[in-house]
Amino acid sequence: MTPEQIERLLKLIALGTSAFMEAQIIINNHKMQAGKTEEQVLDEAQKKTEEALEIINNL
Amino acid sequence: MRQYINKGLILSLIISLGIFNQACDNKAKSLARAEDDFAQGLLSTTKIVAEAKQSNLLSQEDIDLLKPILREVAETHLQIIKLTKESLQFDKELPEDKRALILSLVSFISDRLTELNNEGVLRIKNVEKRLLFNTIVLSMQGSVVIVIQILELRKS
Repeated sequence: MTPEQIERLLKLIALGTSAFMEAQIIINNHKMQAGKTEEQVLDEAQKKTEEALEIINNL
Repeated sequence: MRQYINKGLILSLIISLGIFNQACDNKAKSLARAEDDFAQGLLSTTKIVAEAKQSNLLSQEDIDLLKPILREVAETHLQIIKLTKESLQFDKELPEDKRALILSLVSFISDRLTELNNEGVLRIKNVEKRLLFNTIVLSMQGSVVIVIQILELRKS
């Protein structure tokens, strides 16, 4: 394997790891959504978005 | 080329997960779920940007470019959530005018996400953070596609 191939492979592994971590976040999010009404899920969505907005405004 | 194939695979995975959930759930719940997934992605993205700024991986100049895009996406998503909540009060059916409005807001977000991804990937120096940012923004785009699918299905 050439150094360039190794570097590409490492980047792919990192991408796969990131994708796996994000997939885990989504799956955990879905687990938390189970048993909640649509309104409750939307309330959660609103809270997260407002929290994101606060972080953005403080950047 | 491989990068695009991998991005496509990630997007397909997210969309497949969403379609699977749609098959198992009612449409109102699917819509709420997709919007919550999007909100989760947005929150993760903003945290990455904030961490990158703290670690000096992003300059204030970079932040000043990303900030307005992030703000627009967040504020538009809040509008979408509000409209969806109002609509779900009426027998879980989405009125046509609300549906069309939400679709146009979602389309706006989709365009801004592409811009956000391009700018973020360009500016975040750390490879790990850049990849994570890219992955999460991609998953947000996946959520957007799912919302569009649900809204299109609700029309029929």
